[in-house]
Amino acid sequence: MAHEAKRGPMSLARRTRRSASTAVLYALLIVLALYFLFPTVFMVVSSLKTDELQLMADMGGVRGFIPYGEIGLGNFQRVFQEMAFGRFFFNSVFILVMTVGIGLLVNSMFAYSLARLRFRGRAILVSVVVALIIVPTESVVIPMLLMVNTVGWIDSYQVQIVPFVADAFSIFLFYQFFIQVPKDFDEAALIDGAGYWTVYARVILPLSRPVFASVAILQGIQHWGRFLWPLMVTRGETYRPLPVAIQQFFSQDPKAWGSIFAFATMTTIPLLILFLVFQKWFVQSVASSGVKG
Amino acid sequence: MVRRTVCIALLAVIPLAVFAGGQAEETGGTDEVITVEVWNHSGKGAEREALDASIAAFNEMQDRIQVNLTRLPEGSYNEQVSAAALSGDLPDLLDFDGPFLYNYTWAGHLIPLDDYVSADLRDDFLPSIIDQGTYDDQLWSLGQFDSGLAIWGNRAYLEEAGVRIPTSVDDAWTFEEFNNALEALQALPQVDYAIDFKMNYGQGEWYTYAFSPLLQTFGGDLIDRSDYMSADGVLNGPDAVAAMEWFQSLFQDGYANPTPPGDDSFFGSKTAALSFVGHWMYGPHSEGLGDDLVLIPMFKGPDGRQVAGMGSWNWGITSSAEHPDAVWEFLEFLLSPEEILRMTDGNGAVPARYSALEQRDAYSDGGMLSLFVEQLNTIAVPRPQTPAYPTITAAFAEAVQNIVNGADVQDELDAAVQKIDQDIEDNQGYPTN
Repeated sequence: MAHEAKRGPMSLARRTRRSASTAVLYALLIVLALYFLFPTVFMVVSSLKTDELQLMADMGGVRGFIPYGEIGLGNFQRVFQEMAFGRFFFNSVFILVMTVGIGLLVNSMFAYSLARLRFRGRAILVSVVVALIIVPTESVVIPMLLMVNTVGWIDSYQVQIVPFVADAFSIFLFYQFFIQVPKDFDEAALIDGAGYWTVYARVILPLSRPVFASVAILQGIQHWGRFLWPLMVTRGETYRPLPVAIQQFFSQDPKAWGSIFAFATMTTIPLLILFLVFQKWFVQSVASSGVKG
Repeated sequence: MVRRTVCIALLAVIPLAVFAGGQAEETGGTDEVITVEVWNHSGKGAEREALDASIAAFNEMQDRIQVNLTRLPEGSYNEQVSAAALSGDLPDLLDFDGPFLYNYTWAGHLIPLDDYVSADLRDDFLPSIIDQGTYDDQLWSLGQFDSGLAIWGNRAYLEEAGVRIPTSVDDAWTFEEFNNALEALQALPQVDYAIDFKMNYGQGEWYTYAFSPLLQTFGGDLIDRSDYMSADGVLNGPDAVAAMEWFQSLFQDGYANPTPPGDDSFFGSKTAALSFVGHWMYGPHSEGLGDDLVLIPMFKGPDGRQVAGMGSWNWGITSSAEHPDAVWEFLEFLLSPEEILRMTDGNGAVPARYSALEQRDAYSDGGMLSLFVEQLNTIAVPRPQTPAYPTITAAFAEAVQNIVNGADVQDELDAAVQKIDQDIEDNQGYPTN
């Protein structure tokens, strides 16, 4: 009894201290969360402000984050009136789906062969893949431009898809994941008469959803915002993706900031949805591979 | 398993089908008709509509030449043109912002127009248009319009402050008069800033277009124009430094706002008494101020020099054009007075030909905008006619931004000179042969 009476006040004090530190931690986290959310909030709020003068006046201060004054969808309407936004949106989605979709297949198969098959030069290939990760696309765009021009691919879908299907970083991620999958699974399937294709499709793939999700998101983010390459290889509106199309608003002064923010909002939302859809698997993969975007 | 295999197969097949479709679209057309491919920056809505109408009219009035327009986003226009030049698929005719002509010409992307332009036609263009289109003693480009840059004023404020309102280039304010005018206007209770320099346009071509005439008014310049080989001693010389120190003082002393919250301090809230901006603001200005709107010529510098900005988008025929005669036929149509007026009635710019100008009251003697024509005829100076211009404008604009923000003027101009001279050195002085 005496022991319990003595322990009670101490627990209370400890609980109070713990609550206080938790409150401080949460306050800190809320501040940080707001800090990282500010640009997105600013963009969405600004896209809804239809008074261009008010929008410009608010851009310099805290009022930029507050939806007040003339609020509406006028900026979004203007984007659709001024350009073929639907076309550009389709182009970006199509290029993204094709690049990431085919990339997942090609890169994972390549990584699987590196992780499981034994052939001459395998170790060199792994080294080459790792080395290629550090070569930025920007450094090879000029020779790439000359190459695709030679084959007549300028201003097309394939010129925006094919060069980016094979991706060293994706191969490396798949490779890292596959070598951790116990070989016992493969061997059991092989003993049962399965071929390598069946092992890949029916054993490895079902076990690898987290890494597929991670690669899909990382590649998705990269391709959705790709600007320099489509700028160089597209001409008319037919194959123009969103990052190049938004340049239409960066024209004569003064800038139409309302339209720019509306365009940016419509460009950002699909990526947020993509992330939310794959979030569970993405987190799993980050936890298991230590890779983050 | 089957479903998964089908999905994988579809992933592989769909792009092939689409690519095949995309390529099929590109074939077609007839052999008899000459197709002229035209590239144009996206620009404003009125400009797009005017050009679309001109092309439709040309395609309808004859059946030998078919003009196809591709419109590129203005924010990345130069980069896309450069990429196309690199891959060798430039169109037959393209437009470009005035001073970028020289780099395109030097790189061999354009053909001269001298053989196409008759003496009469040349004489009908404003001299500023001919100046802008000339490089290495040849004419390479022509535009439908030029720009006008001057000082817009609020008559009520000017009269209340007792400031004289000049009406012609000769009659312009002296440097001392201009400074006194700023002081008198700043003292008015309803005025927050005596002059609006449109700093809200942000760092870019506006800074060079608008503020390099201030350098020249003081005797400085962006580069030594005797041989275009260096900016040293010119852009960072005592005259240029004095010009930019004076410009900086206008912001530091509160006569101008370095970070205007909006675009309307002159014509909306009317908290600015003067506005230093181009012809494109005539519509909002006249709507906001009505009869109180006056257009004031560029002031005279400390030594009496007077310089106005000029230059705008213009057209050039590329060296990859297979049928340059057909391209010129279309360009000649585009440069006819009727088509020029179709464009300038939409975008408010100064028509490039006298035969077009005389059809509009605003530009005739005594007209509200006639001062722009007078300046273009007398004191307008083209931006440097050198292939190094893209580097010059980027370096100068950065220096202007830092100077307005309070940086040391000499240091900033020295840094700009270093960048410009380095570029010229890297390109071996941009040899023409």
